[in-house]
Amino acid sequence: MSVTHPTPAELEGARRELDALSRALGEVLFGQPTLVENVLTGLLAGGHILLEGLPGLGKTQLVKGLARALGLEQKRIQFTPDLMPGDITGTLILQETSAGRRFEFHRGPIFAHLVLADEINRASPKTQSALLEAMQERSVTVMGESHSLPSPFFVLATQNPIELEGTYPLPEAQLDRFLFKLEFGRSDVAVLEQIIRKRELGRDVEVPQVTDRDRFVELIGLARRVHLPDVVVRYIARLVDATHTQAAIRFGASPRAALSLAGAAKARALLAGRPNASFEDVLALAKPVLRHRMILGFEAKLEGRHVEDLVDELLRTVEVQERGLPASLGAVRS
Amino acid sequence: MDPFWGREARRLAWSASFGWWLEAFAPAFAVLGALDAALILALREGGRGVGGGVLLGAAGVVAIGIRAYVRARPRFLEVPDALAELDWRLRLDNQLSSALAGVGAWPSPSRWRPVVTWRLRGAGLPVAAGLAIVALALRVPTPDSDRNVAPAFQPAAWAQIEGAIERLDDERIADPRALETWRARLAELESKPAREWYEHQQLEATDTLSEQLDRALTRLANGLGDAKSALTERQASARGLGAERTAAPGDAAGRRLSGTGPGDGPATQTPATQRPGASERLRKLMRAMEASRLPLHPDLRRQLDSATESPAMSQQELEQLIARLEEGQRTALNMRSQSASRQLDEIAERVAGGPSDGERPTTQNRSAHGTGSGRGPGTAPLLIGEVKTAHDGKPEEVFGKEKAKAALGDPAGLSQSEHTVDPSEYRGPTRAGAIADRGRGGEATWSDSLSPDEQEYLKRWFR
Repeated sequence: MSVTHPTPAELEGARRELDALSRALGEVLFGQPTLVENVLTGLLAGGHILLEGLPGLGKTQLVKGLARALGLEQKRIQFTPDLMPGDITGTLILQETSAGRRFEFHRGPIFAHLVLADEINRASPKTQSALLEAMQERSVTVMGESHSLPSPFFVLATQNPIELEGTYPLPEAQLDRFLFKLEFGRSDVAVLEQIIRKRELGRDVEVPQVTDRDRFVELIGLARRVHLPDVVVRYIARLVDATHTQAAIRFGASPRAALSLAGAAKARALLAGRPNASFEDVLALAKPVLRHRMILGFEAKLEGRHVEDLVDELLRTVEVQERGLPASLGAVRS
Repeated sequence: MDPFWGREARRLAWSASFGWWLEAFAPAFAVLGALDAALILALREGGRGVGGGVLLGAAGVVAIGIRAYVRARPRFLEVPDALAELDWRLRLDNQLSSALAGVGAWPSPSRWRPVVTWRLRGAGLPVAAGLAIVALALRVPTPDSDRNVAPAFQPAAWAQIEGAIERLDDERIADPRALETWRARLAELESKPAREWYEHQQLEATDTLSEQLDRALTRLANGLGDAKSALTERQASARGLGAERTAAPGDAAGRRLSGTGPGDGPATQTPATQRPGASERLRKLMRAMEASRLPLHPDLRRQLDSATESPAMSQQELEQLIARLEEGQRTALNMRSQSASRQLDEIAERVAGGPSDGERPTTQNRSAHGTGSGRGPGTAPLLIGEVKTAHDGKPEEVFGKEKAKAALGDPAGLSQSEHTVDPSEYRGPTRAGAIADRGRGGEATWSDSLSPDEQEYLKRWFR
């Protein structure tokens, strides 16, 4: 398969636009440049993102800001235990028309470019399943009739790490459909001061539109054309394979995880204006890609170990090259 | 490929490959070094050359070098691997790997000067340890390495023994056939490798030979001295008798014996009345000396035989024979080694003013001196401060001349007495139940027959 790699001009144009997008999102989410970068990377890679954090950290604002900056249609679904699949996908309603009575499909909130699935773990597994199927197939089927979702289509789901009683944790198979799982960290004092100065309670943030839907689709296509060197491919494969050999991990990452990591690495390279992905991209994205795809063993849970620690350990122990440098070769520096 | 990055990649690939090889090689080299060092030490201690050990070690190095290559080969870096490694180490975001694949441009060489540093503690230590232990095994002193150094000089006792043998031969005192036996024994000692000359067993053998020669020389000297005394006694008796006979000129026998009568020749003949006792003593002496390790020279023995058996030995011939015996005795005494007995004899001679006839002990008193069993010199010094008593009527002579100046413990003289054991007494079979021979020694025999001074000396000697 012949792939035309991005030209320097394309890369430069993409870099400028994505920089502007980052700056715009930076005005929405203060003090979280890595998070903003990862969200953009995930979208450029065409993936869905699971956001985990305490209430009030700006998850909804981030999604709204993204939709405005990208010129995309955005909808928000608040997941509750009594939410039904049809409430998401849409349903057939009997309509009285001049031609007589007939069922018409009324699109649900999922028919948008950017869907915010708020507190996804509060819905029943049946409803979650309907959403996750739509995420994977990028279409919904109602009464045997298939309806394509708009392109691009992204789901940014959120879940709180607290108040877990009465929730339905997402099954591992469904978690695997999310490209990234990003955690919202606590803001420090300086960021809080900035938020207080620049925001008002109850008012949405003014975010300029940086690009439009078509251009963003082009950027997604451009990200897929970014070169992935063989050595990076081998590194990703060895890294994902190593998740299966760790004693503390009961189930390792799937091949989809490897694909996700490769796609995300290319998207991150495009974000940086590079024609190729690198080891550094893989290292930077390994935790968001792998943390929700690895299942700890019983003993590791008892020992209080976290998946993040295990990913860190993997990144330390798996060398970027199988045939690396011997210990007797101290360092290569410039 | 960019020439600069190609060169750097090849350099890094070579360095990394060598590092992998070294890491596979080093532990095995340390083990090989230890084994080779043990082998070299064993060879050195066994007195063999270390060349075999070094060669074996070199062959082992080649073998483990090949083994290390085979083991490390899968980890050797190729140029693409080295470029990726440079990407990673220099934080180049895989620009080099991508440029190699035709994507993007090569980074500008002017910005980068890759420097490879070595950390050889891990791999270098085993190699250094292996080399050090082999060098140590080659250099550390071993018992055999001392032995391998050939001594510059032969033991001094050999020269003394050889000198004594040669002088006895030159002066025709001892039987040349017996001297050949002594030479053969000395040659056997000399035939050993030079590094063994000063080994314990060799020195023991040298001491034994030297002591045996000392005893043989002492016995020879005593025999010669006794023979000389017997002949001197006979000469003196002949002179006395001759004088008596000279006073009665009509006595033909007197004239014949004194040699003053016409036709009797110049020599004075031994009187027939004295001949049987002296001759018997001489015969005994001859037999004893014949049985010793240093028998008399055939010429000397013939002269003594003729003096013993022939009544017609002239006075001049007798004097010549006595002089020769005296010279032979002096030579034999001088040839003895610087042993304790020699020192004591020298003390005796010094104190007594030399072994002149008048001051020498009598034959009976000196016989013990020459027939020692090797346990003691046969002479015992009389020390100032010790109370001595006569023992069994045997005389104890004190030769010290300046007792006033002597301190306690100084040797004041020597006591010499005759031992009654005559090892040459028995010469043939005897009837059942009869004991004709008192034996040739044994500690009890000698101890019982020693004088109190000699017993005291023995006690101090073995204390």
